[in-house]
Amino acid sequence: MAASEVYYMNARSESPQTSLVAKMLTVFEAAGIDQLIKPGDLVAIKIHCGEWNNTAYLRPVYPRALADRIKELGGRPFVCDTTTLTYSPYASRATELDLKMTAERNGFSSAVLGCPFICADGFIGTGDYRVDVPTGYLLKEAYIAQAIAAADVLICLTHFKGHPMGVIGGAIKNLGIGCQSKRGKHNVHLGGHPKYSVANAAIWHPENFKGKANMEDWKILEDCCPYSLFKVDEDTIHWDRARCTSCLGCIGVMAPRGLFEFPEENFAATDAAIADGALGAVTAVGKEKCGFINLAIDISPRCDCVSFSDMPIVPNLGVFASKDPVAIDMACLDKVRESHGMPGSIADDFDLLEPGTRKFETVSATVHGLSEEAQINTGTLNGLGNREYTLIETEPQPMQRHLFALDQRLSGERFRAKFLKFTPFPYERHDGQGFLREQEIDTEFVKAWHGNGDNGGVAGGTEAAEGAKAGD
Amino acid sequence: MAAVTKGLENLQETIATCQQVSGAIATASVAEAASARQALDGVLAALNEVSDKFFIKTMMSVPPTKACKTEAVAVAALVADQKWSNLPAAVEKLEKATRALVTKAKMDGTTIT
Repeated sequence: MAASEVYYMNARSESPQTSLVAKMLTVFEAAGIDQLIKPGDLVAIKIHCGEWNNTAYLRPVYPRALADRIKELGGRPFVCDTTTLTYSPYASRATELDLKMTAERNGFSSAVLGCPFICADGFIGTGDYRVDVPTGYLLKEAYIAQAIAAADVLICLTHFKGHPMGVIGGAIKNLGIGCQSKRGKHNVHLGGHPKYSVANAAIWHPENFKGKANMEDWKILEDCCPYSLFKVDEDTIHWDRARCTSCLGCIGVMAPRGLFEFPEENFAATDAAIADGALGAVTAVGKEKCGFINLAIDISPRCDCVSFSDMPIVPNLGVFASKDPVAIDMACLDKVRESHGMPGSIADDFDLLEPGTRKFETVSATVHGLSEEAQINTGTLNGLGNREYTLIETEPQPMQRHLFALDQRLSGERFRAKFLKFTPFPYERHDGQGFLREQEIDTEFVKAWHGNGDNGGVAGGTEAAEGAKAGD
Repeated sequence: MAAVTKGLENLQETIATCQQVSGAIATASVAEAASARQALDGVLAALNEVSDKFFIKTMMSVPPTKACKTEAVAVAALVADQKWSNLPAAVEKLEKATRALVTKAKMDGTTIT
């Protein structure tokens, strides 16, 4: 199989045409993703809108600029995300209402995006489209968010970062988790699976429950489960594990209290399932109708799905685009490995500052033994894509294409009449100098610290102070 | 790349170091040694309590347990050299690292998935 093409621009910016927004649009076109869009096409831009109080998710200007470009091409864009499993006792995106409120707080609204922001899998998350995945490594079917499955073109606009379960969060995860409905996420998280589900994989330690009297917050043990599968008595706790769906709402409660243990295999199997879910999403839309843009910036160790963002583990690396989700993730991963770790970050805590280290499986993975390549390798095995890639360094486009788009006349033409009418500069004051100021100051004086004014301060301050008192 | 030392291994080494230091200072007559021994008892109790937590089996436990190990080794070095005047500050650092570990081991708000 021939290597897949991945178009790349680094993260440096020193001009309008090298801004990261311009670079995103540049690699979008270089990779030929613009050619996928025909007039009238519904184009889903799949983003991660970020959890409540997460700050590392992609800024809304990126999907906005992409949506504007898609409209220029005649497409009808919408930006979307999907409802989550509960994942924690304090989920902020598990219904359409919560998702949209969180997304709006994070800046994703139609006013900002210039197109609708859609919850792609319905109010609860059961609006989906089932597809067979016959070549799946673990999953043999997937449930794809309806609005994504209904789109003519899917563009995954992905923030590349780490992930506690998936180890990396790139294009494959944006497809394999992000494009699944809530039902689909139950599938990918292996709910009901005879070996890898929480019900069957978790080691249950009810003996570590020491009674209500010894656990002030015992109620959380019952209340964390949306299926009401935990029952707490005075001295015992019961779990109806046969009905557990692997919604994962409980594990952040049970595990720290010693009630659950998780074998690494449970996480590893999910990583493989993510790539199968990704294949389902691509299958639902059509492989030839999907494009991928990864922004490897603000590369936090944990996903945008957590309600905090640790400092990046490596510097910003750049912008990537491809029609192959496996190749683009491999290219990003290689760049992270090639990079120095960020001093002061968790990469520093783990002594991973030298280039050439496999950073994510150490700093991002929840448990030991996971691989930062598991999604990529599974995606190669199931036919999602190719881990072999050719990285194509892309040149910036002409500056004119990335100037202020709403009015491209020069400033003289645009503002001459306005400035004549509402002159911002008061020519008539202070002998034409316009403003009250010192004629000269000692610039060297303020470059150095001279204490708290006990050496007399800057000469000539009195006149200015008096002018201020007079309201001049 | 060298394998990352697991949190549990760091913790066990820390406990062993603290126990060794505690034994070594048991017979020392200086005041610093007596107060250090009392502090080490508290540290050991805290470390033993977190040793069976799920957190210790996660990657997240590596940095805080490594910090405890580093501080315990520093305390042990001072005791070996009988630099008693520096001991209180070093023990305080170990206590601080232990408190940080105990706090993190609660995994309040941590998203495992």
